[in-house]
Amino acid sequence: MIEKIPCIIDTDPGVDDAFAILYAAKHPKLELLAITTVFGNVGLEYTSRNAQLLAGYISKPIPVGLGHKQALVVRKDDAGVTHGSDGFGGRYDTYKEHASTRPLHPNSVQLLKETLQKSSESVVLFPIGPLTNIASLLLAYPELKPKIRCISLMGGGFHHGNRTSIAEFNILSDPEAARIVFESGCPIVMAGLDITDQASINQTELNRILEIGQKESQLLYEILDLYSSHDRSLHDPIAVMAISDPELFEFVNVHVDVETGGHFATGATIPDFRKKSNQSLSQVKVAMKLEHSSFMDRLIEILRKDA
Amino acid sequence: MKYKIPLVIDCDPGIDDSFALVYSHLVDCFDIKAVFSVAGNVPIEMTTLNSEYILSELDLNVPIYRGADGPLIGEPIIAKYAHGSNGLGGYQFDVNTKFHASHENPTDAYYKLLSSLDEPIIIAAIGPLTNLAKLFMAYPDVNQYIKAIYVMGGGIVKGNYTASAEFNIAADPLAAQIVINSGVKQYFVPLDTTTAYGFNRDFMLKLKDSKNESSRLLYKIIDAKENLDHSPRSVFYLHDLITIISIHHPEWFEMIDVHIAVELNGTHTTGMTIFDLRGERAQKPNAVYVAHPKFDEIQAHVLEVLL
Repeated sequence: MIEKIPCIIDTDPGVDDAFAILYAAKHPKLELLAITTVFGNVGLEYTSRNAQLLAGYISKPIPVGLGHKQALVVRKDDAGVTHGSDGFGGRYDTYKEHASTRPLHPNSVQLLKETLQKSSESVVLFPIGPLTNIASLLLAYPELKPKIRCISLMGGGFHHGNRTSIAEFNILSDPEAARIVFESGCPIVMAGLDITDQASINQTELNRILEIGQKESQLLYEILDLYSSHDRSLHDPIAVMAISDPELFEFVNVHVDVETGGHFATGATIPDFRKKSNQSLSQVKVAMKLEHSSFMDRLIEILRKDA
Repeated sequence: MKYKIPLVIDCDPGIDDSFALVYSHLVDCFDIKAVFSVAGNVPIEMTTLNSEYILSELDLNVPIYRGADGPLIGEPIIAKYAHGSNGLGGYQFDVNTKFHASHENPTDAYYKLLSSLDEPIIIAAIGPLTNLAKLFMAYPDVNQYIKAIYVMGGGIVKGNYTASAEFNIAADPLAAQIVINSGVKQYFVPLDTTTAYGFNRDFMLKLKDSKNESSRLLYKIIDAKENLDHSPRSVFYLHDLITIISIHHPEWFEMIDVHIAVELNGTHTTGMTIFDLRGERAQKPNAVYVAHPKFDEIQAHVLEVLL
């Protein structure tokens, strides 16, 4: 029997989030314990109802928490157009009857805390939105850090950004929270734009999603179809795959800082690749290389399974 | 029975914190529900021990909680220069205190306490705002249980830790900004108010002969630091005491609605509070500036209470 890794997804669905959530729910090596929502791609009222919709496609009951609705320090508003006004390319209403009817947990930070406390094993956190909930958890409950196996996040990028030339959306949405997470002492696995932009999809691959024929495939296809005219990369599933399918990746260990107060660089993730840098401070395992066809094959293979 | 204002004191004793604690008890109009310590003037071990000591001397048996040991981000700063080696001016007291702080998670303890009370409470935050920031991060719904927060912190044209930044805010600027963002009604008592006038040497010498044991203790604390008899013209700024007085004697101050922001990343101004006093062009108020103290009334009142 495969030993499953318990995990929680902290998320702002969001199109690529939807793929990450269903991927984690279906993966034989992962045990999804909870979904905690946060503002991000769209406002919290949309991210939370979208999470409920996705939870409705998962046979096992998964608690969904309502998280932070804004950053620790408010700077900018949401991504709007990329994910459509409702976060799902305007498709929520078409599919809403599938949504989970379990009541939302009113507080994502508390749901994270309670889930960690209850788990007998250490848990992987998958933050794939702004890091506000996770930073709150780590600051308010430092005693729970030993319960966190690692934090495998989608965020940042070394070579380029997307929200600005150097800052990636999730990090820029709450740079202080990101800095708190990167400085927390917890082991971090980072799926930044350097690798997630290797997970781009073309029209043929988009059609493969539709051909899967699962009950949620039509939804995934439709939301991805709109999204892909703005962004062709399936960023968020990479953070999950870095744990469930590490053999697909090449990793490097490096120290990473988050800029919170730059004129131009706020929200940038800064790796220290200097030869003389202190290797013992290399707290981040960064996924750097991905073979595209094996990524796509694995994605399809897992999404074919029942959730 | 006389109505007393329910109050939580969040502090880092601290010489002026000690005055605030003793006064709050002796003035007999506050129902002190709990004291939370926080790292600030001196490290958390000392602010906690000093809280235990002062409450023991007052024979005031209320819960004491050991709070945050440093700021949300970055390294702790301390103010031993102002408060002596142990935070009480170097005054050597018996460390075998009668009451002891709980080491329960302070964020959960805060929430449990506030949500269990019959009415929303007032919090006097007279140290760095770390405990409160964590409370808002972990429990975004806690607002409903808080009537107002009185903050000793910031300055308009005055700083003390740096030229531009007051100590409590400089010790954790991000926490201060998070508290301001919370939307809870808040009163800021800046250095401009607390140092408009000082308590004089005669005032302190009167405490020496007070019939009240805890007032004599305050004299010993300030004498240990200042060697009072040798500094006839000294004045003493009791920032935290002024802050407590503003809660129940608003008539001795001018209350001015104002927008406050905290500089998080300045070249010279990190930790500076920016009061927007541009008149009609000012941003929408998010706080109340407690200004222009009537000091003669205040000093006479304090003497009456402490003697």
